[in-house]
Amino acid sequence: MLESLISTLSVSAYYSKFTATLPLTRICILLLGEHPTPVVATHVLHLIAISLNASSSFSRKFELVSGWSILRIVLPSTWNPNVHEAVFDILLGRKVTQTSNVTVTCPHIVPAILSVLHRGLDAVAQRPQITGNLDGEFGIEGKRIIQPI
Amino acid sequence: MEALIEEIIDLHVSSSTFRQVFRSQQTTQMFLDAYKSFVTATTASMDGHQRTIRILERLSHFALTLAHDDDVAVPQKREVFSIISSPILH
Repeated sequence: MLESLISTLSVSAYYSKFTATLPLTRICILLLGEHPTPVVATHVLHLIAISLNASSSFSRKFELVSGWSILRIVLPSTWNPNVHEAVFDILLGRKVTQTSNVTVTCPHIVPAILSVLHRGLDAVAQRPQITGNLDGEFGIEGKRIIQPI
Repeated sequence: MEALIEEIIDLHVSSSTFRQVFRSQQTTQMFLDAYKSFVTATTASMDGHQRTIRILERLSHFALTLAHDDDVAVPQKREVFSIISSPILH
C-alpha cells in the first residue's frame, strides 16, 4: 500500500495536492518510526527523493522537523542493498531525475551515511569472521545463512 | 560494509561536489571517529581476519586521500596520520 501511495505521489499534480493539505515531512517521520524494516525505510527514502525533486524547500522543512537527524539514528539498524541504493539516489539526485551523474544534490544525508558506516564497522570489529550485513543476513565466510526475521 | 566503503571511495574520486562535503569538519570528523573506533577495536582484539585487514586497508586508503585533500583541516589531517601510525597497521 505504501508503494502505491508513493508511486501516486511521484506524479507532481498529486504531490502538490497532497502536500497542500498534509505535512509530508512529518508523515515521512511517522512512516519511519523508530525501527523501520529495510522495506519501509526504502519506500520512505523514495518518498523523500520524490519530495526533494518536487520542492526546493523540502530539504529545509525536513531539517526543521529533525528529519535528517532521525535518518542518522534510524538507518544504521536497517541497512541493506536496497536502502543503500535509495540513500545514494537521494545523495546524487538520481532516478527521479533520470541522470547518472555524480553530483551531490543533497549533502544533508551524508551524516546518515557516515553513521551507518560507523555502526557497520563496529559490528564487523565485534564479529569479523561473519560476513554480516546490517539487515540481519549473516553467514560464515563462504556460506550465506538467512537469519529468520 | 565493503560495498559502502567502496562507493564512498569511488564517489570521492569522481565527484568534486562529494569532495566538497568533507570541507565540513563535522562531517570529516564523523568518518575519522568511525575509522579510529575500528582501528582501536581491531587492535585490541588482535584481529587478523582477512576481512578485517581488507576493510582496514580500504579505510586507510580513504583516510589518506582525505589527509591529502586541501579542503580538509590541518588538525584532522594530523589525526589521520596519528591513527595510521597505530600498531595494527604495521
